[in-house]
Amino acid sequence: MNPMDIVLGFIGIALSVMIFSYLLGDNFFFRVALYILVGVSAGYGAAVLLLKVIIPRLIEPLKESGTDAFWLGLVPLALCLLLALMLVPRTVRAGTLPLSFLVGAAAAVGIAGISRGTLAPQLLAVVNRFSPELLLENSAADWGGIVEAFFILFGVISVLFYFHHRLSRKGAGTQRPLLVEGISDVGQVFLGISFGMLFVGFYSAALTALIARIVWLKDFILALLAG
Amino acid sequence: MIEGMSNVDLLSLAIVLLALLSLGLNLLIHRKYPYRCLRKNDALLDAEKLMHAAAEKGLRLTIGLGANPNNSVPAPASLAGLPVLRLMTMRSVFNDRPAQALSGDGALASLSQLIVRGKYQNALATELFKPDFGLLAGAAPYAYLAGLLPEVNYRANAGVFLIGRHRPETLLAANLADQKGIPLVAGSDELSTQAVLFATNARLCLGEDALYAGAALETDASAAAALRAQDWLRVLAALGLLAGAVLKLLGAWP
Amino acid sequence: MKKTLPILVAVLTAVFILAALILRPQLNGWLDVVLNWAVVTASAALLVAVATLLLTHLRAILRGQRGFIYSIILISAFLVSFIGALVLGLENSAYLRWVAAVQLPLETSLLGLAALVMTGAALQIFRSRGWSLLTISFGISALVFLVISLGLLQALNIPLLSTVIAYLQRLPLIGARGLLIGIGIGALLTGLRVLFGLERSWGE
Repeated sequence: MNPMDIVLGFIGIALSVMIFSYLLGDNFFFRVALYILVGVSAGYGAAVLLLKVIIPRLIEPLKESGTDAFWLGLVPLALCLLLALMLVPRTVRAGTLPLSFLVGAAAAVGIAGISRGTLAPQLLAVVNRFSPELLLENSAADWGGIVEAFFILFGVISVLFYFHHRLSRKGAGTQRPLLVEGISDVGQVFLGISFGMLFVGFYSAALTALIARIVWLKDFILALLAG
Repeated sequence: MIEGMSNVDLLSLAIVLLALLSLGLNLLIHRKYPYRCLRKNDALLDAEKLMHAAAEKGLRLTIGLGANPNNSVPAPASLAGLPVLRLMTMRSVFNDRPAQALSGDGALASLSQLIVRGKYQNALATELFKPDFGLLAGAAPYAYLAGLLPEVNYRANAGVFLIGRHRPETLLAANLADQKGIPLVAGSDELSTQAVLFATNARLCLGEDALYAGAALETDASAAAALRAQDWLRVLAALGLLAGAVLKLLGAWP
Repeated sequence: MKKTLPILVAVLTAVFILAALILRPQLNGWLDVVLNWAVVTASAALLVAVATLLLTHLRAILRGQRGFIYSIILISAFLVSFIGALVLGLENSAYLRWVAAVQLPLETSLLGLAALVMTGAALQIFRSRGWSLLTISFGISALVFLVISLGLLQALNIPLLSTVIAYLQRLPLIGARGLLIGIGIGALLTGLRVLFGLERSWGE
């Protein structure tokens, strides 16, 4: 092990211990570790954006005076200058234009991405379970597959209705229509099953990270002892 | 143009058009009483109570607006916390301890500053505005969590809101708030986060509820119209799934 | 004008990008230009937000505010990593190793810590949320998937058990699909509200 590895290894151990000190309650060392993470991430992130985005995509085109790239570069330059004015409390509102541009872009990208990337594929995935090619086994009906397809269809609809917001006009107007209420009860079960699996999925990932940290610590100490 | 389109393209176009139509019609039909007969999310009702309690006790409210994983343009779902920020800032302009917004990406941090500054201007109190009322907590998702945790444990916190795009590790913030007896209201569009936070004491907005804070807090009529449109689209999706299943079974849908 | 100009900018940007996405070959070049502007603007927004964060902590140090020691730590960590990148370059292996040596242990430890906290949280779910169809199915599902994730049942190599496990593993997809469709519709409608100028995220 070279001296650099040893120093970095000890930094890693110290930072890990500081984070796990949270188990004794929020304390000074835990906070120091958190602020180090915020500072290092901000420094690294700012450097990446400056060197990989701002300089090549904004500054470089502006050096080519008179070209198309130069004229097109004036728009983001103006937007960035307006954003920079937000650093002065009196001129914070100068950021309105660049931010409304960003929100508009986000909305459009979101509309296209969600409708094409999430909604359509998810809906089609439910319907495609009813494809005759999937439900026929050697020209005979695969009843297991048919039941499962209907089960999925009913499950998805019941989860959708669990979140129904419209209340019935009858009575005091504080309850949802009876049919919706009934379907949503079934939806709760499917929702609980999904949440249970997702909970375990994240728990496994977190546990793996914990074990990886312990294994790394063991390997580092063994390597240190071996010289 | 339609000839070259796949099933996914056609369906996504139909969804967008139906959503547009539903939103437009609901804006028109319910323009007089936009919030009538809408189920209120319990977590967001608690949020409103927390805002009143904080104002009375002179304590601070903290809101985490979430983080964008790759710091690109913010996704529509990551704007979910902004209506809550608007209301809590409006209610705390003249408080000893004004509301504190924390974000995990640049666009959200800047948007939160604009909103807070706007509320101070409306209240003719621009001299009370400080840029640190809307701060970046961290420049990456983990750094955001790291910046959020000390603020959750701030000594004069009356409550914490985590509304927007949050990762499941946010559980640590919920745990810390729980240890300190600080109420926490959370809502994220990420399924894993919803599942993990479900096992905590946090008041939760499940499913799409976090996206309609403006309707639940009765501060945005267009959000209420969108909520009604969502109900229409829910019914249409269910009917569409049933029709699609029958057509597929009959071999009438390729 | 002060209020309508930002709405106009947001709506025109959204309409243009959507039109360009639909009429892809014709407007491809312009779409790239506008998306490039968006990337540059989002990056500048982060840089401005970082600068605001640093100024806030600098003020805390100068005023000797309670907890200013943390501000010193944050600014020092920022300066070391930022100046390190500018001096050594982002591709420098020593610099990258240093950044990784700080970030990796902190991030994996936070994730590991979440595992320890979750163990306690899961045990008290019925106390905090009460007994309902949702909590009961959550509890049973978490237990079942915990057992499945251990891999012991699969190791028994019983065909019927393998079929049941395979079926159980498909079951959570139903709820997840329903949730994704619901959240997707919600996010789509939020996007459409921006498109109509109804959602003004930048305004008061």
